Amino acid sequence: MDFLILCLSLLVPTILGAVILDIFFMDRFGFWEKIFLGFGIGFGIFTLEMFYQSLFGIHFNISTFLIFFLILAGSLLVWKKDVFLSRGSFFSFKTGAAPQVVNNLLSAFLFFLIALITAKVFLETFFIAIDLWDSWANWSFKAKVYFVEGIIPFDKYKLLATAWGCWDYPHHVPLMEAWIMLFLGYWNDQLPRLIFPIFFSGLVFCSYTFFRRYVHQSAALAGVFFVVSLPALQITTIGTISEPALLFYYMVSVFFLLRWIEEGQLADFILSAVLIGLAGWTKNEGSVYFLFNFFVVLFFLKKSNCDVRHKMFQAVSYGFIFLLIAGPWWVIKMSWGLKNWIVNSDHLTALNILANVSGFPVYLSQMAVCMGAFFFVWPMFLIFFLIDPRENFFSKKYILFMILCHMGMILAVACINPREMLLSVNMVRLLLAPSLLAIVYVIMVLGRPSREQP
Amino acid sequence: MRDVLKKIKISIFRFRFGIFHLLLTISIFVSSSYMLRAKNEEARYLRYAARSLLAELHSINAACDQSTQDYYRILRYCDDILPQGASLQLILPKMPVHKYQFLREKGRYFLYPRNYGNNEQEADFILVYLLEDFRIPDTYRVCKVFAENKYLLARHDCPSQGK
Repeated sequence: MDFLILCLSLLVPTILGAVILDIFFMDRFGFWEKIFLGFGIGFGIFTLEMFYQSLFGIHFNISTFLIFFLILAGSLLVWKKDVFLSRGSFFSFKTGAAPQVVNNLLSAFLFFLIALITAKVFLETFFIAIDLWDSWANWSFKAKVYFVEGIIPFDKYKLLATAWGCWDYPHHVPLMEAWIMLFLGYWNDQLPRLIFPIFFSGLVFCSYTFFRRYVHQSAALAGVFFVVSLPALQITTIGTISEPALLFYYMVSVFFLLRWIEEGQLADFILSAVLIGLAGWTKNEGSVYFLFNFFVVLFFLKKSNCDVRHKMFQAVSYGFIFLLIAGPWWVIKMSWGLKNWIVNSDHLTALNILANVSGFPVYLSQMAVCMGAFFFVWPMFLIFFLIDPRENFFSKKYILFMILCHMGMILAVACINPREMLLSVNMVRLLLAPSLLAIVYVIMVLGRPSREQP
Repeated sequence: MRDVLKKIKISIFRFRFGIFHLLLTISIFVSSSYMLRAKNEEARYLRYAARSLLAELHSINAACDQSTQDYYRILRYCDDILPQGASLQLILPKMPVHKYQFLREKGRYFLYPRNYGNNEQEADFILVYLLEDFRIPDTYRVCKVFAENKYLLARHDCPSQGK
């Protein structure tokens, strides 16, 4: 019975997200792409709603969610009634986007390996109840507080902050867990863990869909194999910390950004902004990753031929969508003086940074050591970077730029606060995003030339 | 010189799929061996987990080392008998046996909403865990003894039944 309720609690946001995608972006996506994106976006909508509800002092319960759901559905119906009326069926999917059959032995073998690893990640996540510190101390503890109090208890924040935990972190992950508990009606350490392998699978599936744009099936599956076989990604998923959710939002946002750069579709641009906003709503790193995306948007717009007003409008829109999602929490935590334990005003002093800069060679060598945790991804990236003839370099250069930004961020964090843990465990975690970008780069070098937008 | 280098680059580039497949093959071997190395232990755990009761599984996961295997069971007991609004102080060894024991934090996590704050003030209940020389304050009575150095104290005026 609990499992059925869990499925229901996951289905409600997924269906909401899928319907919204369906209404605004029509039949751009295949079934699974729509399901995974719907899961991410739908949960984003509900957790933001829970956050604002808490700000207004309204407690969580099924009736408030139902009222919100009905208001949202009603507004969509009125706003987009032509879409609803013109549809034969409620859901529509991209034409010809039926699941592709694996078409050769290598593809079948790779598909089998990917399925095996994903199943292993699902099973292990489910059969471990309490694991990594971050999982229960940072995320589940907050989820428990929100569930027990029936609200985000902002009035108790100062008291709670004396216990432990990073209380400046955004609320998306704990609210997702609390959402499941609200459906279950009691606290459970195990069932909400399943959201993390779902994000993992979403990342895998969306990576495959993106890779297929550049290379044939077996190469795309090989690229996906490189993604799923990353031990750090598996460990963070099984350990149920927020990385799979953050990486899902971030990477899919990058995919849409690159699609927008190559094809100029506004829908891709909006989705990229929404997803990077949700990345910022998942973890503080997401807000820094937004800056990388934003720089890419600026560089691309600088080179494009459209008029200055249009360029400015697009750049501002990207930032505005992000701020709309992740901004309010930033404003609140800054006004309350909630400090990040790694980067805060105590560490951000010229004297401190100058004192730490001398350790730069150590940070650099430590980064090289941590890269070893990603098997062949970085040697492969290096080889493909060297042999890339730089022809049709159009969107690849943005990937390289983002990888450089990530490296710069990691080294900057090391210079600001060079703790032992930050130079080992946390560095591996921070290297996850550039490692995935490195795989994307390799696939782009392998694949057909990218099309430059006129 | 630059032209020569570019020609070499392009000639290697033609074999990019070959290089990719070679790296893929090596990667499959390496990641398989990584999985196989961990497989025995993981498979044993998964087989065990599939057969175990949830509470037993939680108990094992919640403990970091052998010496604190019963901690989760004790916390579950406290969770059952302590009223939700009650305050609880955890009296634990100053130095953990294991770096990652996190007894204080786990106590707070499992028993929320009872024990948050600075853990310094006198509370309605005191859980003493793994402390040999703790002197029971006069205002408290022993509520439940789990072992010689593990017991729950209640203030004389506190009821100890039900959530």
